[in-house]
Amino acid sequence: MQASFSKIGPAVLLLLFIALPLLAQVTGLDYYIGVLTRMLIFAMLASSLNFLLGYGGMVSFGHAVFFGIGAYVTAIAAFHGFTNVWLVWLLAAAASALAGLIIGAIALRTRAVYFIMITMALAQLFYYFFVGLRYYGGDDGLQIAQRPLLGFGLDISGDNGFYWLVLSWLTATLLLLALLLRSRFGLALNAIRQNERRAQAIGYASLRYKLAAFVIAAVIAGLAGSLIGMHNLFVSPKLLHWSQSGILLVMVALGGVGYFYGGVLGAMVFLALEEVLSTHVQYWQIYVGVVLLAVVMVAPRGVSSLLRMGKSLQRLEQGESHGV
Amino acid sequence: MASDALTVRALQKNYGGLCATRDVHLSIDAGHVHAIIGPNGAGKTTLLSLLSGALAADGGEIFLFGQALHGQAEQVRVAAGLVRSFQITSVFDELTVLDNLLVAVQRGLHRGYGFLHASASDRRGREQALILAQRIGLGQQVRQLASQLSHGARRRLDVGLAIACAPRVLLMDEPMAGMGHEESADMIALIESLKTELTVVLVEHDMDAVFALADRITVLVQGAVLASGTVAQIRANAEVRQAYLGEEDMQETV
Repeated sequence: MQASFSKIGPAVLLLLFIALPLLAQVTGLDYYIGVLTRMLIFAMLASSLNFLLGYGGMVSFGHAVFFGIGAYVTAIAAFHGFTNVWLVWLLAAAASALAGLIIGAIALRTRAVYFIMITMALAQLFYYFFVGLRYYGGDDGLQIAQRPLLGFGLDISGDNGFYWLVLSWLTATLLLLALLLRSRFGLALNAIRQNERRAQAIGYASLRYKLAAFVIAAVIAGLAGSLIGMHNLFVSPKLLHWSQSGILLVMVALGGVGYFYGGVLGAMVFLALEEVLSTHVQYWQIYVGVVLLAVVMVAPRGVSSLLRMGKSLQRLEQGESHGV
Repeated sequence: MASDALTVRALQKNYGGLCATRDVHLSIDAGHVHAIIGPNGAGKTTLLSLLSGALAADGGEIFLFGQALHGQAEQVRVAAGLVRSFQITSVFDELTVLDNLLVAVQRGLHRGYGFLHASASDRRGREQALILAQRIGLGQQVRQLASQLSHGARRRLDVGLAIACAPRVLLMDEPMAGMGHEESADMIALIESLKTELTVVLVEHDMDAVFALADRITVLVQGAVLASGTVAQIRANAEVRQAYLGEEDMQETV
């Protein structure tokens, strides 16, 4: 797997995410810790979609469904008095894995535009399920009275503690994805994306590999959903609405499909834009659109491609010298 | 039957009213190169797809060294040792030559998905992939992307992917397609070298190659077997001459 942008890029990102909250505290801009937390959660979520889309070639237009399920499991668990966060995560992971298995097993029998449509349709089914779930708030959503407990003497009830928890989750997610992409599974998945017929002809049961990737992405999204529930202390069906899935796809496209940090960068840029523009202008979505258009025109393969431009140019020259 | 590598009985495939494969019986001896020839549209590629499991047959039986494979999924057939190569080059363009071969080698070498086993640190797999790269004449190009290779090199990689699966019977779909004279000679030499360790079913249009390599020939016309026999028998067969080879060609090659 190619190393994405420059080698120091990840280290710079990590330092940034360690330094920024400290800076915010010192300068008294504590509000931004919440913004950063949200960014990290979406970075985790978008990374899971990037894994599915960029490496597995599956354009899921319903990825937010797992985000919502993870969030709802967390809220419902809190509603019933569960206070152990590890148990909550286990439940969130199990529920999103099950949903991923069901949706994946159905949707992966179709291809291309049908896959996009069926993932969206199935996700909407879950959306209406939660809308109709009166006991847990239905359309109005459900409050979470207080965050569950992490244990080990660590406090995640405050903004700071929670931020470090989320950063740890994002780091763990990226490490896991890096490991997966370098594994035999990752190589096979890559081969299946490029040429499924041939992958089958050399003995791979491609459907099972794609389903495994789908479930892995679903679990990561479910855990990110659990975190967003704990962050907002509130969940609503909006979390899994199809438009949320659409925004996720935009994030990944913006960051760079198939670039390792594509999901992270996309979520950061998108949410930063939203944050800045929505505080200064009324119809901020229009301006987000304009910026997106500009990015697509300057860097059609996303922000990541800009950051490693030198490398891709080199590759182009190599290709030319071989007469391609 | 006992020495048969591949036995096919009453294989059938229909597309609506069109009969693409009609009651095909084959018995292919172990260690042979068995050529399947026939005019365009005779159903040669369809036959290979039915054998490999890429297409589901409407009827008939397939045995690989006595093991029933009809109705089995493609990956089961590959694991049993029935592997195909492609007429239209089918490789993994964005992978290096080494990774192309590695992904094929690893399927047979390991069980399970290998979620957390780094593919690059699979020594045995890499070793086998490198040996194979040498064998198909790509030893110097293992770090190149498949998309950067020449046509002939890509054809060899296509065959290499199939060999990487350790087949007992290799189904080759026009390995010489679109090749120049020299490239064809390389491919013929490669197939010759395979003969000692496995059985080859060779679909090929290049008659020089067929006559040079084949131990047996089956002629397919409109999805059905017209004739099957040794090279000499096929050359002498009047029906075959009329249906396919054409008088002129025969005089040239005989």
